[in-house]
Amino acid sequence: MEATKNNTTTIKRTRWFWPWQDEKEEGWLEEMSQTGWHLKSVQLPCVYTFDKGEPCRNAYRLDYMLMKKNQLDEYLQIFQDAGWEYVGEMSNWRYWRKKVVNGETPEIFTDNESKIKKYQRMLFIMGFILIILTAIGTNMFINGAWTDVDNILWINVIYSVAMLCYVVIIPIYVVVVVKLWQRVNQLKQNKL
Amino acid sequence: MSGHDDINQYLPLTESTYYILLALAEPMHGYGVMQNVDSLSEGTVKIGPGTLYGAFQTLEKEGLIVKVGEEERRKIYTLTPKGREVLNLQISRLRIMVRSGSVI
Repeated sequence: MEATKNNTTTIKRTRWFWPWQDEKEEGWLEEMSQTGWHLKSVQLPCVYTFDKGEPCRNAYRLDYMLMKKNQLDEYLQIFQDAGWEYVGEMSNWRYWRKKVVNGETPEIFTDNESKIKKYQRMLFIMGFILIILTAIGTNMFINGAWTDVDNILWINVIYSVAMLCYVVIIPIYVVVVVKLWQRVNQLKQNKL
Repeated sequence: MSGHDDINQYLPLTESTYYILLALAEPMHGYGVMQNVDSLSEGTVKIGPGTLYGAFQTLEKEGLIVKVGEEERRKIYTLTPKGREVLNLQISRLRIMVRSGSVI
């Protein structure tokens, strides 16, 4: 009987993705739609909420852009006028959905140049963060009295954070920047 | 470089940019541009909203188009004299391409 069936209508999934893998993310959301789970909202840290509905073929597209409030209205309007449904935003990623009609997959970027620019925007932001982190970390190492065991606690805490930056965070950002840079070059080679 | 700017630096336009500028010969908002490009290009060029939004930003910064009004949340743009000049130069380049190609 219907009523005794599994009556879950909403599920949450946490799924990490790297900025150069956004197309894989789109593909996953499209597969979810085909099994009847439609993205309802996204929030940090990569938590996706899905609503149960009729299985259908949707195209999902992710855009990445830093935007001021006064630009957002115009941006949203252009996408909505083109028939795209706004699902939500998560740290500058905006999630868009549109039904696939007659097997024709809709695109938000219709030329190579604008697609390249999207990855260049990410590259710019990630590169900027990398430079800031490196500057802060380096400054702390140069000025730090690492061997001084008499340091008061909070100074040691700050040094530990700097250490963490060097060992974990900075290498991650280096990988992100290199991968994005490779993606941009790969797209540039698609050009005739 | 001083205020003197070389119009040729914008050429050649990409197919999308060419059609967007062409559509903006008349003041128009984004939705109008997307529909217009579709019909002007006889369906050969489609402009997605991400491409269009980016193009508006870039072209406005380059001074080829300008905001002339607003209709609810839709901004209306049109060509500046400089934009018109760039478009005309592109059209003459295209004429040469067609002319030289007609020997085949």
